[in-house]
Amino acid sequence: MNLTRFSSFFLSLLSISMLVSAGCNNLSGDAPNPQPGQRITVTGTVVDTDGHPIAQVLVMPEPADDKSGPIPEIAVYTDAEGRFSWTVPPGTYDFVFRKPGYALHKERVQAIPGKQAPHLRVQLKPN
Amino acid sequence: MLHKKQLFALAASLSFVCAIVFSSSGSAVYATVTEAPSPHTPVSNKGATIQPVPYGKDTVKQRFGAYTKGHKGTQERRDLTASPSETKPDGGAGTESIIGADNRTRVTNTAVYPYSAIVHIVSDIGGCTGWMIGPDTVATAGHCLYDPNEDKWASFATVYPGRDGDHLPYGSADGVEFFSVIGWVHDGNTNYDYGAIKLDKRIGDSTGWFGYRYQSSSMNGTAENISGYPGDKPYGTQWQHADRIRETHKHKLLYANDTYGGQSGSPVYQNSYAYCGVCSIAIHTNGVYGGSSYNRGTRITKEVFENLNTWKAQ
Repeated sequence: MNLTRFSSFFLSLLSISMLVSAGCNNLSGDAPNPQPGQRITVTGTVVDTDGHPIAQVLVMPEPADDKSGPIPEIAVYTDAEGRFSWTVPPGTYDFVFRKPGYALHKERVQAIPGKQAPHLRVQLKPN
Repeated sequence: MLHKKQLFALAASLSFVCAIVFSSSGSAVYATVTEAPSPHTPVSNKGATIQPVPYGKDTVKQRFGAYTKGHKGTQERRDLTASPSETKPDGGAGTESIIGADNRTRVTNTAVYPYSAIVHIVSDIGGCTGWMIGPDTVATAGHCLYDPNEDKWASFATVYPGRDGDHLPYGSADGVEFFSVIGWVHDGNTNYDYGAIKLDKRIGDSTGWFGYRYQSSSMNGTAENISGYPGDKPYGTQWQHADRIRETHKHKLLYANDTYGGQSGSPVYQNSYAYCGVCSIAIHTNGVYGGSSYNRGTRITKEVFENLNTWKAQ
């Protein structure tokens, strides 16, 4: 048996092993894990039509495409100054703002590593 | 010069070794890093050493799993009708955790078991849900107790069992110690997103508590229910929705129950399983993402099961 034939045989086995390994990873279906350092903190302020801050507004980012997320399903509310903060993996999100008495508001946000962290100023209109 | 058979054996051996090296999730990698602690190693906000108590007196071992029995406390049990998900699609892609129409129904009597054993959690991290697993222990998502982005534990957590808006049938209890695992606390890996709260009082003697179980085989098709405290509904009200397990993965279970922010930590439970009673099989953590049309929760595996038993026994 010559060395070329051996190398071909070995490389074939190696390729099959890697493909099986990669396939098993995809089939596992468990979550990819964006490292904390890759996450982007989105901040903002929610105000009414007079510019006054609104407290207790529920703020929830929803992944806008297949490449964004995961987002923990925690209820984050604005504080007394209308401020909020959400840390998300890189991606595109629709930030949804809800509070009884106000119309639901959505704001699309691109969270891109290395770029300036997005800061939103959201105005809610009464129902 | 190597003989033909020797060459074949060498090639096969090298391929096997390479398969091990290139596998990022296989047990073989774990075998080569035997000194690294398991991601399921429990940690506490107090930094205390946690003595493992993997099996308690209420634990029943089975051939392919185990369960720890629930207890209905002083309450009567009543299963309120939860709307099923027969109309929910199989597969496909989506981006919202309300999958199609919102099929959640409000729990109108939260003082009866098992709804009495589901708690609204209020902390400086945010609003969440949890479920009693013992007289003074609540299971929930890890991200409800520890924020890996800020690298900090919640500074407080107050739980309201069976809350219904302003009505608090069992009052409240404060968390005195928080637990999670290093896979979440050190790595922020959602596959290890689970934890528990030790309370300052034995409120579970009144509310009752859930059983929980694991099985090594697929859970696809298992009928389950999720009940919790979503933030898109009137504040502090409990909502539920029934579905079935759609996909089983190593660390996660996927389902089409409608959920929203605030329902993290909710029990994904069977209404009845053997002597387990009302029996949780997962802890809800995330809405739809990544091209799947299903929501998902951290699966109660053997390791998760043993940690829940351990935290319950502290």
